[in-house]
Amino acid sequence: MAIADRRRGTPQRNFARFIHAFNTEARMAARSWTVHWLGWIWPLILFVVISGIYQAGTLQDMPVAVVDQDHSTLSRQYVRQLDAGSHASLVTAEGGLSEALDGLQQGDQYGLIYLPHDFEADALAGRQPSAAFYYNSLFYAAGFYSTLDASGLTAGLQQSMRPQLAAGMGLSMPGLASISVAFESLYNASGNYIYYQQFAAVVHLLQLFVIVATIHVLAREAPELRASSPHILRAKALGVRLVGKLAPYTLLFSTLLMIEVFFLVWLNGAVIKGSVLWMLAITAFYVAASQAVGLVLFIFTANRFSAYSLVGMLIGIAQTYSGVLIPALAMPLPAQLISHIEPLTHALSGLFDQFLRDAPGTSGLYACLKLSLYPLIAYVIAKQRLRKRLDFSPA
Amino acid sequence: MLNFWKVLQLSLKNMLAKPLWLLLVATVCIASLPYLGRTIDNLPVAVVDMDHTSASRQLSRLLDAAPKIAVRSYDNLPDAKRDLAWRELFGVIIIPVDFEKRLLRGESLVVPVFGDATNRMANGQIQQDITATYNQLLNDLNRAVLMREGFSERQADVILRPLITRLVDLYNPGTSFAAIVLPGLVTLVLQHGLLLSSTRINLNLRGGTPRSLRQPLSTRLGRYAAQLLVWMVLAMLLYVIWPHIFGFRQTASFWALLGLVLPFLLAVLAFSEFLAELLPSEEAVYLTLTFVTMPLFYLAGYTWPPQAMPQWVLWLANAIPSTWAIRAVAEMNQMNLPLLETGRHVLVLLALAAGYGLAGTLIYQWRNYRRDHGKEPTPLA
Repeated sequence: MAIADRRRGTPQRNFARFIHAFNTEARMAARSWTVHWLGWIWPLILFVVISGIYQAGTLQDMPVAVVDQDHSTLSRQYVRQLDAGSHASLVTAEGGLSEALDGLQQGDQYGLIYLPHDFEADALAGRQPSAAFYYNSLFYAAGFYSTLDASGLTAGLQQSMRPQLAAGMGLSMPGLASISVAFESLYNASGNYIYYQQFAAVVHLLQLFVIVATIHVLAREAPELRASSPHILRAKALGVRLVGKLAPYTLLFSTLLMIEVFFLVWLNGAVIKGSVLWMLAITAFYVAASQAVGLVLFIFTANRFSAYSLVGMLIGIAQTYSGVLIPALAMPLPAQLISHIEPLTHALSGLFDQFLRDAPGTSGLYACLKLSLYPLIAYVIAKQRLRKRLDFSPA
Repeated sequence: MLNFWKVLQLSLKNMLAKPLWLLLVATVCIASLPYLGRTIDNLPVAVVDMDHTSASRQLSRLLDAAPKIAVRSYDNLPDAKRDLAWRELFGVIIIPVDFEKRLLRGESLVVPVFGDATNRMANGQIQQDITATYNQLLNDLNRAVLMREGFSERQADVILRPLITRLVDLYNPGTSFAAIVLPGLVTLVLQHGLLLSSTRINLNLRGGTPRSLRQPLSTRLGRYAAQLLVWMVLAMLLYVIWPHIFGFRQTASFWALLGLVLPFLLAVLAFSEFLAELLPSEEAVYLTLTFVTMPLFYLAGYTWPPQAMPQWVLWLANAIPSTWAIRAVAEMNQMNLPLLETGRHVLVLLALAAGYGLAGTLIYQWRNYRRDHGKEPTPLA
C-alpha cells in the first residue's frame, strides 16, 4: 500500500521538482546579464545587421558595362531596351573593352555587353552577328540576374527583323510556331532573398545562440562557475530537474525566433502560406534540439571554453550542409547523410514549408518528429554522463 | 630581443601542444565535402507528357541531355506536384495536349514550367537550360517549316537567328559552387579561429593592469609572431594545398597568396588587440565573436552584391579584414589578377592593421594612465 502511494505520488513530486527547477532558473536568468545578452540583445543587433544586408530584397539594376563599337540604330535599340529591363543597369565604358574588363574583374560591374562593328549591317545582310554578353559567374547571383533580360530582348529583335529579311530573299514569310516558356517560380515568385537567405540566416544564428547559452547555463552547475549559481542539478531526479532548468530558455529562444520571423514578415509585407501554429511548434522543437546539441557538447568537453570552441566548428558546417548555399539533392551521398544529421536542415525545411511552400500538412509533423529525436538522445546521454561531468570538471 | 625569442618559443610550444588549429582544418575538410561535385548537374525535374507524340518525346530527350537537368517522367501532374512539395524535384514541366499538332500548324504555344524558387541558384540553372532546350526544339521545327516554303537551309537559319546573343560565363566556367562559396568560407574560418585565440591571449596583456603585472613590448611582439607563424602555415594550407587536392580552380601563385595572407593576418591580429580592450572577459570573447562569422559571410559582398546593400552596412563590411581578403582572394585565385592589381585591397588591409593597432594602443595607454593615476579601480579581466 505504501509503495502504491509512493508510485502515485511520483508524477506530482516530479512536477513539483520541474516547477522548482523552472522557477529557480527563470529568476536567475532574469538577473543574468549574460542571459540578456544571449537571449535578445546580441541576436536582435545581428538581426538588424542581416536585415540591412538584404534590405533590397531582390536583385535589380545590376551594373553592366556596354562597349558599343557599332553606334547604329540597331545597337542603340539593343542597349536602350536592355537598360529598360529590370535586371540590368547599363553603363557605357568610355575607355573601351579594356576599361570594361577591368570593371568586370574588380566587381564594379557584373556583366559586359560587346556589340561589334557592323552589327546592324551584318544583321541586315544575313551575316548573323553576335552580341557577346560576358557575365561574372563567380559572383553568381548578381552575374546571373544581370543576364535575365537578354534572351527575351534577342528573341524580340529577331522576330521584328524576319519579315524584312524574308522580303530581301524574295520569299514570303510563313507563319512560324512560337513557344513561350511560362516559367513560374513557385514558393518565392519575386525571387526575394529576404524570404530565403535572410530567413535561413536568422534561423541558423538562433541555433548558435541556443547552443552557447545552454553550455553557459550548464557550466554554472559545474565547479568552474558553481559559486555563482544555485545548484539545481545537484538534487535527486536529475532528468526532470534538467528539463525544468532548460525549459525557460526553450521558451525564451522560441519567442525570440517567432518575434524575428514576425518582424521579417511584417516589415516586408510577406504572407505565411502555411500554419503559424506549426511554425511555432517546429521552432520549439528546433530550440529543444539545439539545446540537446549544447548539452552533448557540454558533457563531452572538459570545460565550457572547449565547448564554445567546438561551436565555432558548427558554424561553417551547419551553414554548408543546411541546403541554403547548395541544395541537398545536389550534394554527394555522404554529404547528404551529414545534412540529415544537422537539426538546422530539418528545421529550415519544416519552416520553409510552412512559410513559403504549399507543402502537405504532415510536413510540420514530420519536422517536429525528426527534431524530437535530438532531445531524446541527449536526455539518455545526460542521464548516464551529466552528473559525472558536473562533479569532475575543473574548478 | 632575448625575451622576444623566449616568448616566441614558449608560445609556439603552447599552441602546438593544444592543437585547436586542427579543429579549424577539420572544419574546412568537412565543409568542403558537399562541393566535391564542383558544379550542380542533373537536378531532378519532372516532365508530365500529356501529348505522347514524337515532338514531345524529342523535347523530353533534349531536356534530359541538358547538363543541369535529369528528367523524371510522370503520368500525372498531382504526383509531380506532391514530389515537388516534398523536395524530391526542382521543377515540373508540362507538355500540353496537342503540343506537336499546334507546333506544326505554326501556332503560338505557352508552355507552363513550375520551378522551386526557394533556392534561387538551382532554380536559375534549371531555367537557363529549359529555355535553351525549347529554343533548340523550336528552331528545328521552324527550320523545317521554312524549308518547306522554299527557303534554303542557310536562308532558314538567317531568318530564325538574324542576330545572336552569346552568354559567356567568366571566371567560374560551368558555375562551380565550390568557387563561389569556399574562398569566403575558408577566409572566415581562418579569421574566426585567429580572432578568438588571439583576443583571448590579448586579454591578459590589456591596459589597466597594475604596473608590476605589465608585460614589456617584446612579450607582446613575441606572442604575435608565434600566432602569425602558425596561422600563416594554416592559411597557406587552406588557400594553396587544399584547393590543389580537391582540384578547385586556382590561378594565383604561392608567393602572390602569401603577399595577401600576411597583411590579412596582421589586420586580424590588430583587430583582436582592439577588441581585447573592449571586451570585458574571456567568456565575453566567445559570447560575442562566435556569432559574427555568419553575418560577415553575407556582408563580404560575395554571395550578395555590395551595390544592393545600404551605405551603413557597407561601412560596417569595409571595417572587417575578411571583406577585403575575400575580395582579393577571389580576384587573384578565380579572376586571374596579379597581386599588383589587387594591391588596393592589400593596402586597405595594411591600413586596417595600422588603424586597429593604433586604436588598441591608445586605449591601452589611456587605461594604464587611469590606473596609474587611481582613476580605474580594478582591472576588468
